Amino acid sequence: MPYLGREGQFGVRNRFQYLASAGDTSFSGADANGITMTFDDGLYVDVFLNGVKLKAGEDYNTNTANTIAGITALDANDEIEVIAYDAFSAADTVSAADGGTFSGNVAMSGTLSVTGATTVTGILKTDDTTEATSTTDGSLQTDGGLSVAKDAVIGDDLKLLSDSSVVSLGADSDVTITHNADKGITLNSMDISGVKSINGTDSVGSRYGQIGGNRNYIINGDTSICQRATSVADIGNGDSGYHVQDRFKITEQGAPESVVTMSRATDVPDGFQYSMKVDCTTAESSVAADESWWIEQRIEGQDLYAWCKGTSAARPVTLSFWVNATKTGTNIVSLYDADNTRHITKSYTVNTTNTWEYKTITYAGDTTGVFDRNNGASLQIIWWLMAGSNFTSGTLATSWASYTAANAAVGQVNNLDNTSNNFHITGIQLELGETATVFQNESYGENLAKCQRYFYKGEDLVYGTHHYGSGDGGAGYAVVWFPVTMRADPTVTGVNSNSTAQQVSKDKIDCYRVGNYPSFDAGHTADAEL
Amino acid sequence: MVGYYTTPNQLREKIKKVHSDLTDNDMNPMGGGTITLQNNTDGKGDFIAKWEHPSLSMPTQSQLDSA
Repeated sequence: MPYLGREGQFGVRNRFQYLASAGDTSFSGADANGITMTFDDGLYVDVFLNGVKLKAGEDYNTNTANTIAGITALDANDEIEVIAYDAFSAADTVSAADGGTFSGNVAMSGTLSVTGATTVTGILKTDDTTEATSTTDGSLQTDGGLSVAKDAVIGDDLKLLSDSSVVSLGADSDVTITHNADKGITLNSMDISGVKSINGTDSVGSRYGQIGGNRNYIINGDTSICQRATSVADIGNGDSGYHVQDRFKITEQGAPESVVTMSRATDVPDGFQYSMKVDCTTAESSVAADESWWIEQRIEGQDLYAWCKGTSAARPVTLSFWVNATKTGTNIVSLYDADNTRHITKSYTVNTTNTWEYKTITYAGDTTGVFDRNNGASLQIIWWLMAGSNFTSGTLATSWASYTAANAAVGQVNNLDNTSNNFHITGIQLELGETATVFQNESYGENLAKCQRYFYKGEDLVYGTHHYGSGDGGAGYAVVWFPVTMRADPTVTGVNSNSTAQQVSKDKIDCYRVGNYPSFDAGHTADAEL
Repeated sequence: MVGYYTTPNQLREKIKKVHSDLTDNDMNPMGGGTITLQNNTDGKGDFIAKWEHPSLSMPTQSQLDSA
């Protein structure tokens, strides 16, 4: 209830009643009703004797606090009534209806509710220390957004509760860090600079990684192992196969007129020793519809179980590599599931001619089509360099789908249309997840051993033993054990024996020769490539 | 349409039994193959989508069933 004066329970007018004893001249303290008389100012007191108002200053005085004195001696049972008014200033108020301004401090022990906007010229401060554990607690809450023009300093944790929360940087949000629920975070394909180490390992860009580990599904990703040759010229029509870098095959379709030299080049980005170079020596100026040319690596199905392909738990993978090409523009990299005839294709752009550029491409998991768990080629990773219209006339299959040739390489530029063109690639890594990590460097020995599961070249001439005897004139035996068990029984070359007596397995070649030493030529090979 | 077996492997192996000269690569369009097996994920299974082998003829359904 509104009031004027001191406190509501007193009101503005207080009545005190006294019954005099004979000779009384002053009154104070508890009245006849037990109420103790108090007043702030004698000017706001009226005194009545038996109902007749007395004159202040003559009939009585208030010189003593809370006391009416100076009254002519009273008779017994005379009635003194004192009316005391609270002092207030009507001008020093703030209107409840019209509002106004408090010039001094305002203290409030209850809740302050404001319907309209609140503008605070000074500092808005709360001393409450309630922890924030959700969007509806803590000492400062808002149901809407919060904009801060200057720095924000947070003394403890910063929590972004949404499963798809994004930290956007820059006025145009050109760099974003996105939360991938239960997986990790994604940087929107922007560079991270100034990173000194990752998990304690020195790292600059994505080139200097630790030796060891098994994140990379690509074998010979640094393109250093070249058991067959370090350079092969005149690779043209009909020459699909493995020529230089181990595990990397070139495939032609149709009858392209282009001819290339493949080599192990030393033109590399920092942190690498070699790159794979494709040097166009005869140009393909007019690509026929059925012509195409690509570099690929094939992976055994039994190595791909962690992809969970063909299940609801199918996981994404990310391919990263360094590329340096003369031809600028759109290029395509496809993943092809040979077990289920499915593919997914993504593009990347060579922005600047003859300049090393780092590319990362993430492919979604495929809930259809389980990879075979055997030693066959289940997956092909395909870097297109040229594609005819049979492969470019549709819509790029950026999601996993049944193979459709027209959707395989839409937008692919022709890297083989000029004899000045070169295409280099190195630092190739394919790993689970949506984030490309630092390239997993390996020792030469580790890399070579992985390659030898698919191809082995014996550098030295090997002789067997020759046992002389009667009858057939003696015979010899020899065996070469492979350094690692091969993927399958290999096709061998450079073995000099009676061919019918050769026994080739994943582990070794046994041979038998009548009348002479059996031998293995320097450079004998065993090929179990996919 | 010829085919409609549960998995590409099943269809692939049956084709290889009908034509013993064929290899997996012959049925890999991204490996120089002239035969394309396909599954449209419509529940019908896998079938021969394209047969362009230069000398061997596409097997019939009865040949596949008995292989």
